[in-house]
Amino acid sequence: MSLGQQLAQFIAAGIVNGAIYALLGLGLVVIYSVTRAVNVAQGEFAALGALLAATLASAGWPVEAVLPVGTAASALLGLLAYLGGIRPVRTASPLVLIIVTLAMHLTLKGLLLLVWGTDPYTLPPFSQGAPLRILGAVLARQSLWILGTAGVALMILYGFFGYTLYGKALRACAINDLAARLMGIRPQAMGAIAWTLAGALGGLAGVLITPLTLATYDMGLMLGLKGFVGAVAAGLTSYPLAVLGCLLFGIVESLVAGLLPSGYRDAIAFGVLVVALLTRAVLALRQGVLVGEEVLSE
Amino acid sequence: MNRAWFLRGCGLLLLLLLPWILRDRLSLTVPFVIGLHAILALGLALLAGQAGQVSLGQAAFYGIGAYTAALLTVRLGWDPWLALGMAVLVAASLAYVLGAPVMVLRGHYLVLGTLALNVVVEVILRNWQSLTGGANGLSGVPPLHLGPFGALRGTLPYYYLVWGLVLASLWLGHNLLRSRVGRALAAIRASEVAAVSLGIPPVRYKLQLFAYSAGCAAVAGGLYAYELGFVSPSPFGFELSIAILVMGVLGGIHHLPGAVLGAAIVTLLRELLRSLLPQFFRGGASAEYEAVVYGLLLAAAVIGAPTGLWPLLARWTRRPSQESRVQPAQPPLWRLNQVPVDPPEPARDPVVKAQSLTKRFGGLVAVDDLSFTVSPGEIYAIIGPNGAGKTTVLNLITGLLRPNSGSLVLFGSPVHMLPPERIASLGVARTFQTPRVVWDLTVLDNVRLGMHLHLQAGFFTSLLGLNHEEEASSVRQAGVLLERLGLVPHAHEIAANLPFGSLRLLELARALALRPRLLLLDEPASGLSREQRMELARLIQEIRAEGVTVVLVEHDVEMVLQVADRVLVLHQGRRIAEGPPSVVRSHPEVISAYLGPAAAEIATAGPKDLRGNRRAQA
Repeated sequence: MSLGQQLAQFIAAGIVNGAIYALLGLGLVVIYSVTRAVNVAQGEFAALGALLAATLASAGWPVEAVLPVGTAASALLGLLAYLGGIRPVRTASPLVLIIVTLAMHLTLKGLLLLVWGTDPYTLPPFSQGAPLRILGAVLARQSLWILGTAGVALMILYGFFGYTLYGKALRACAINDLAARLMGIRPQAMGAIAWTLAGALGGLAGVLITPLTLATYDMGLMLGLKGFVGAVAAGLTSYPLAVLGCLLFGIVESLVAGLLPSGYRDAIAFGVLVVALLTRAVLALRQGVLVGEEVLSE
Repeated sequence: MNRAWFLRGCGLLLLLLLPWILRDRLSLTVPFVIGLHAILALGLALLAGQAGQVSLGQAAFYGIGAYTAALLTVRLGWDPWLALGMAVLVAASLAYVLGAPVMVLRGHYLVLGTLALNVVVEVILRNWQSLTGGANGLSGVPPLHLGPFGALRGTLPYYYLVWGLVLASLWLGHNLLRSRVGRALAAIRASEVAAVSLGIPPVRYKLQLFAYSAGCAAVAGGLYAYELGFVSPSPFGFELSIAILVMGVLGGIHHLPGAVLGAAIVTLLRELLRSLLPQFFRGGASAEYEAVVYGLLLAAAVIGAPTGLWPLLARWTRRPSQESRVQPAQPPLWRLNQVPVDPPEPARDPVVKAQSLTKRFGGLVAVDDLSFTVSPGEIYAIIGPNGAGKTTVLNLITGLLRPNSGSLVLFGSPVHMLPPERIASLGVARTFQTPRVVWDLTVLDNVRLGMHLHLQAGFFTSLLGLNHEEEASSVRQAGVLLERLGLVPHAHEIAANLPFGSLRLLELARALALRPRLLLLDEPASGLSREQRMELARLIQEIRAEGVTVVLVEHDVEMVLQVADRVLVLHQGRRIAEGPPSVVRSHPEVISAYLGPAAAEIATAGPKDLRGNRRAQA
């Protein structure tokens, strides 16, 4: 394989991973912007979707059924997480919210372990056939499924936030909670929608990636963390920037992983995270945004 | 002697005698490990409880400490004590490097940043075989040696060493909380905006605490390595970081002794789980179930006992639960009034010189091409209808906002790129429309916050409690200000108990404590009674007479006309009039802005015509 081919291969694989991270990153941004919680348990939504889909598929369910069911189950989990964990402490400090999502992460992971055990589960690719060659890169058919589905999901989200009343209400909550309440938007309803949406996005990501990797009860943490790395680039508030950040991170991870022994793969996320944080901090210092305008209205 | 001291004595005695009590029945390892965990949890409790930042990296710094100590002694033959010092240095520097961007960005990135750090440390310890020995670890770590005792072998000396350090960290933390730095941290928690306006740099203090907590973890790590003589990656996983957080939250994150309590409970629970869980769950996943227990414990603690166990225990021993939070040394009040506050030196250059200042919020132009000059010793009022951009002007002057264009010069030096805490250090103090005091500090301590820039004690001085003289003198100076504003009867109450009018006065006292050359008051009269307003007007004139330039944003036109030398009238971010009160009062555009164009017509037409109109109508 030539260097160019290799590069194309890495970039293509990076974009595919990046699309998965983007789904998780978007979930983090939705939750953060509406409920001000950094959701450590975001990856668990993906793990539930993945494990459920794998189990149902092995019981003979067709792919067309497994994908929506896995997604819906995670959406429900997201809603339950909000109702059970976040709503009781919604007025507490961000510190408490983080501790609650951390507790969620631990508990959900434990529940997944109880139900599915430590074994990895497989899910057949959504369509059979030889890998495709695109611009010198060899791509499994599942990769196209991932890109296609993620793309459609992003478009639906774009339409939702841009053109529907609920989408606009969610954005309003994110920008100014108090003003939104005065306009008659109920933050609790919005919180529930945000968490359900984030659950669905996580579930979708989990089902999509399982044919390429495997589904295990502990797959969530790293996935969620990587989505976070991408979303940090967007300051956890901008949806398009979060997608862009996640895609970029996917590509960087894939390229760097090609150079390092495989054991270090998960360490790349940290390196990129530090670089992203540094870049944002330097930018913030240059613009002099030491005390954001948001803070002034605290 | 009260019950609390009696219990403390018992605790100390128990710690001392524990090795004899346990003797051959149980090993000392568990009490030793509790001590290590207590050090880790104490570091976290300071960081999370005081700076509001959660770290999930305590285990990583613990591991970094252990491995640095082990590698330096085993591979390079360093002296164990020197290696321990190096371990602290490595961990603290790493915390600084990782923490700097995180703290600058303000948000809540530290949790996931440190989580990622923990993952990386694990990955490196397991994979970099040639350096760390991989999963097999590193053996042959030499023990510490201590003068007459020689090499310290066995658990016993380390048990005493660790618990000595636990008590030391409690003492250090306690010192820190009742110092200048502790008050600054309380201010940062309450309102970063207020903190920076007093010259307190939030990023620096948060970073120092993060580095301190990392350093503490590294000390514990080093002791662990020396005691065991062997290090391997498994004790330093993410799971321990979570356990440490559980310890802090369960014990009470705002209460330092709570961290020790939490460490004891969770460590004993861990031991119990480790002996029980494998019997129920086969397949080697018992560590994962342990994590579930932590998850449930965390949730239960946050929802069921959000303040943690320590305050509950403290109530039982009849100690006020506030005691482990910031509390000032309480001097008798009659000694307060002795040292006068130095009068500030009068300013020479124009105090404020703003040229073409423009500030946009999205499409809204809040301040539009505004130029004005404030001369030394002036009382300069800014008035205008709601939304005219008055407060935005104050925010621009204090550096809380950056102008989109235009220049701003204070005391002859350009400041438009300076951060707010630097601008405060030029001698600029302000009050806020809604008082931003620190609710859980006493009135006295709130005023002492204003002296932040004039006090010296840094992080280490405060830790070691070497600040008594300065603290005492600051209490005396604060007393003078309290007396002046009539707040002495409230001196030792927490600010949350004050009525609204007194809160305004408290904020003013705090601003004066900064010894300002320029004092910015944002609607100081709103919410005050008529008598209080008169008193305030008198006070403002008095302050000016002492050489302080005052910029006053106010709605109370009567008061403005009474005290101001010059008045700037803003409307929709633009200047519509400036001049002495008498001129501004009859300016047609001003009347139009306040009362509408019709009123302006009537007013400019003069009283004669006004009467004439009436006559015509009649």
